[in-house]
Amino acid sequence: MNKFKVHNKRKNLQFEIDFTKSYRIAIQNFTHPAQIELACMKAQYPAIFHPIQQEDLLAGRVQMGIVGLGIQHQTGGFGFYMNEEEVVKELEFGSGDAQYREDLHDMLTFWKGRNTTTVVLNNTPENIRPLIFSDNWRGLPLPASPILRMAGAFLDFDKLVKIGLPGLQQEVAAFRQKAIETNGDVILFDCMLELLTLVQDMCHYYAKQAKNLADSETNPVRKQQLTNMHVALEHIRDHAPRTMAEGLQLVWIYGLMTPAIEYGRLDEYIGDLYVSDIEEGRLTEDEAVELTKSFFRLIDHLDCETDGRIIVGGYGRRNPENADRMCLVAIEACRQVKEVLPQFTLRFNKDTPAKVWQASQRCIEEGRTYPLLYNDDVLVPGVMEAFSVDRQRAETYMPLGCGEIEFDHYSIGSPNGSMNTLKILELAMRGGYEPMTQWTLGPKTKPLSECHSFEEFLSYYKQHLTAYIEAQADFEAYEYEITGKIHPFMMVTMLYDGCIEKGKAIFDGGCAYLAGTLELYGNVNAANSLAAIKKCIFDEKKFSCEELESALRNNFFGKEPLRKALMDAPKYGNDDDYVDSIFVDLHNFLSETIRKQAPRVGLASYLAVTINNAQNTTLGRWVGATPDGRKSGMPMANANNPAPGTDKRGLTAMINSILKPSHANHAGMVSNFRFTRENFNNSREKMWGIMNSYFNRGGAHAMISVVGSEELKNAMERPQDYGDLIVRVGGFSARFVDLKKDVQMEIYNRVTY
Amino acid sequence: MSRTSEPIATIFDIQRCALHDGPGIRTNVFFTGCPLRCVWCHNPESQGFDTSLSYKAQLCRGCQGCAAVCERGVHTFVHDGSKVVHKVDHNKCNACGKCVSVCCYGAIELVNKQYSVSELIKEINIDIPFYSEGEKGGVTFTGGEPMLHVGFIKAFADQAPDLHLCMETCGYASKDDFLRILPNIDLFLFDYKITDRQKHRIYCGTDNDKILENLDFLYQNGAEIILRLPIIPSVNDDEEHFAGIADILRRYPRIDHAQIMPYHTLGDEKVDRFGLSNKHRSFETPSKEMVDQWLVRFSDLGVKNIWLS
Repeated sequence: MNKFKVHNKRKNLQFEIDFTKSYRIAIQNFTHPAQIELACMKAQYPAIFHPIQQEDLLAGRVQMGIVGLGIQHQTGGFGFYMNEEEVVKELEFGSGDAQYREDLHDMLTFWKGRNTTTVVLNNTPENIRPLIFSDNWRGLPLPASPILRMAGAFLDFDKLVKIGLPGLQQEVAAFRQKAIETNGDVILFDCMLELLTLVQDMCHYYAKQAKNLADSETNPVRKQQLTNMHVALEHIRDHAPRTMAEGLQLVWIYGLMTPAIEYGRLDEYIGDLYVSDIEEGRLTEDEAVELTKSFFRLIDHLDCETDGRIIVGGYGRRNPENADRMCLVAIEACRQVKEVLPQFTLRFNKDTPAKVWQASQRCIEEGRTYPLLYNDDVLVPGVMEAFSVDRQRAETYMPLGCGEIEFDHYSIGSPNGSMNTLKILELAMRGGYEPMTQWTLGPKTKPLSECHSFEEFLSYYKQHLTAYIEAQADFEAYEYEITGKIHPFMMVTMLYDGCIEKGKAIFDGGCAYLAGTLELYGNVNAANSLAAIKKCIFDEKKFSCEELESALRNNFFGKEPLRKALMDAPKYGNDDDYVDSIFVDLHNFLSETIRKQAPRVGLASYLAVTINNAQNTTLGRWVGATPDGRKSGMPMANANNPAPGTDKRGLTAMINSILKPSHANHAGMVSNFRFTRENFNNSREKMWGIMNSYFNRGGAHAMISVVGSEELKNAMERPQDYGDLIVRVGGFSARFVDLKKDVQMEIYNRVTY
Repeated sequence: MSRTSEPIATIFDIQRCALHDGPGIRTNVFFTGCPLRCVWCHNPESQGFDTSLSYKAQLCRGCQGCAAVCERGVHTFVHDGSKVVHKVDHNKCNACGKCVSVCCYGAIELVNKQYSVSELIKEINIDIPFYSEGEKGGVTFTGGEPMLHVGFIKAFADQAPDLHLCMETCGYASKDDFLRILPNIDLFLFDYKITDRQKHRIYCGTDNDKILENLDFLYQNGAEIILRLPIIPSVNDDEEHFAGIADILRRYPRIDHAQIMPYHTLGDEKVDRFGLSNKHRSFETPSKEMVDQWLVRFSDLGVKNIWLS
């Protein structure tokens, strides 16, 4: 749950109660989803807005309700949502009068069956249910889980900034006229127009607030800032933005109300205004950086943990020269605002100006972990093939959230399912049987103990994988369809290509390219496990399947030699083709099988993603001991990285391994790198030489963590998590965790900021 | 080529992505065996040729699986108050490897592995794509003393003629061996440890006559050389040795530069790891101020091309 970073959070659930009342009235008076949505938006804004804070140069802070209208978990919740746990907590521990408590009970029971998540889950088609039956991945050993959300809206902020609210109103009005003439959905257009009026009202709401604050402000600098805010807000109410401040303010207010959590190609949509401000003397470079910093801090205040993407650089920008200038401002703002968000992303290629690349390097070297680096020269061709689009479209690729790729204001590829390929391997080994819950799931196949060859077992495993993939694809299409009937998400609809023209809401036929993505976890461990099974059981016959099964069931207790043999089998990340070829085969099988589903379920594309968040840990919790030697419940490998502690041949071998999977058949794969700050301080050309080698040989993505003393401290306390950390001191390189405690302390004390 | 007809060498480590042992990105290959016995050595396990048992106490979980399979009583678990402590008697170990095959926590390993030339080439192939990024990288032979494996290294060099090869050597080998290997080595990282002959014998186990002759030989025959200077407080940070260093650099102006390698105790963990306590001595780790002072002293001696490693 986000902890929106605002002062004076609301202390009770009165807003939520009022919202519920408004919804009740709306469904009595209206039947069209757009009318209901509009009513909810009016109930929500400005009710959930928070005041301008002392450090803000732009207006707009929010605290999404425990009940409300959102678009995904990190925006309060999905659709019409209720956070049941929080409501119950309020009932159990909150205070309030009798009416308040009665209203809480009413709200709890009202939304229990009506919230969008429950509605979607309850109406899951029968054919999907045997395999996709719960989203409780936290508490159950699910092989696959639906994710209830519509994630990844990248709005056309470039258009919004260019034509402003009035321009958008004109466009909507023009197509409303067309809808009248062609018997289209006029109500949808009416509601969109009214919604835009609401946005204008919110500009005025904050404009008034800024003026009041300015009037009572004694500090002349702050007074001027607030006055500027007031002027900007009043202007964008009825005109297109003229300045960088107005552009950012409009984007922010609109985005806040969408509610959007991706802020896309900032350099493209603000670049022109920034350059004209600078050249016409309205703004200094420092002021531009300060404005951008404020924008970034506001994105961070949403506290959505993932997402919050700002993407700069790369092919396909309308105005590359101005955008590149703005890029430098953005990188500097990223360097200075040391928060988790935004997830600042650089798309780079052979044309990236040296200054931009150097600024990014500097940012990374200082330990920011940003920018995340995306290699256009690998990804654009890869995306063309994976998504079957032309070069021009491919150049607009945008990684959302944890790394799923979409096209800017053109496609939505919401990752609405997750699959645990290691858990599925576990099931396949037992013919579909799950001992923790005594389920039997998936196709009826022989368990490993009855297989005569590795290839035979592999084919059964693939059958299980296919079954879940097909069910997930069905679910993805179904989720879009049912959501589209309930939620027009008009704020998204108005800034996505083609929707206004077609007169259809984004998920109700409006989206030009409706895509889906499937999150995969456990691939590396699965490949390692397959390699261990192949080597120990079939190739070298070290022990039988029965012995393996018995050892796994007992978490290797008393079976150290067997476990060691499994651990010694080849592991991904060591440039060993025995296992790397199995990994590549698995990756290709998953990617191609997933990709094949799109035409069958009516999506423009459906693709795999192997991304970076904490799910490798949370989903590993309910996976028992596995044939790669991993103990029960232990975390799985993260994204495209080797399983912790298994990369024994160092960085170069690891890089060679992670370069092997193709980038032409999926929608996003993430790779992490961790170096010590000292290496960068002393040998930065060589460090970047290593990364260049990786990128030049097909590396698509890198998230580089440069580690300082904080990490070293953590490594001393949790050495099992830092096996790959190499330190260089004097004339000696060592794995940090191998050194004696006092030596670790010495190195720790040496690391300077 | 079958393994039996190829030269074999015992190697105790291969460190990839080395950034400080020659130009560019390099792979360090650590050979076993050394003719010297420097008292400050931070790779003491490399001095002999034997396969050694490495035990890392901080990774041991006390499962006692090693004790169960060891037939020679190397591993024992004893009570120390409320704790159970794993004790290792390296003297009893014959490197059979049974304990290694049951330790799931990486606490026990056998160090020193035999490689044929083609097996080493296979390992190096992993790193070759990285050598061509920026400044040209390559392989650095170190150890131990790689000059004890000249036949192997020559065969390796012949099979990989395009690789940039660095030889990190103490200089104590036959001139014939240096003559043989000279055409294949692009850069020598040549140790200069102690100037005084007697002192060299006391602290390093041999005198330095041969070493100085070989340095001269390499220099006169056009070798690229960087001088490596381990400096240990109270051992060789005296005026005589510093003057000796200055003298060497004056006499051999084509030596690109000298690198100071201040003493460190990072090799201390190997004492327990390999059971080497009877051979080990510890010295004072120089402070930053002390190291700065050394640089000042070299500057006063007119030496310009010397800096920290």
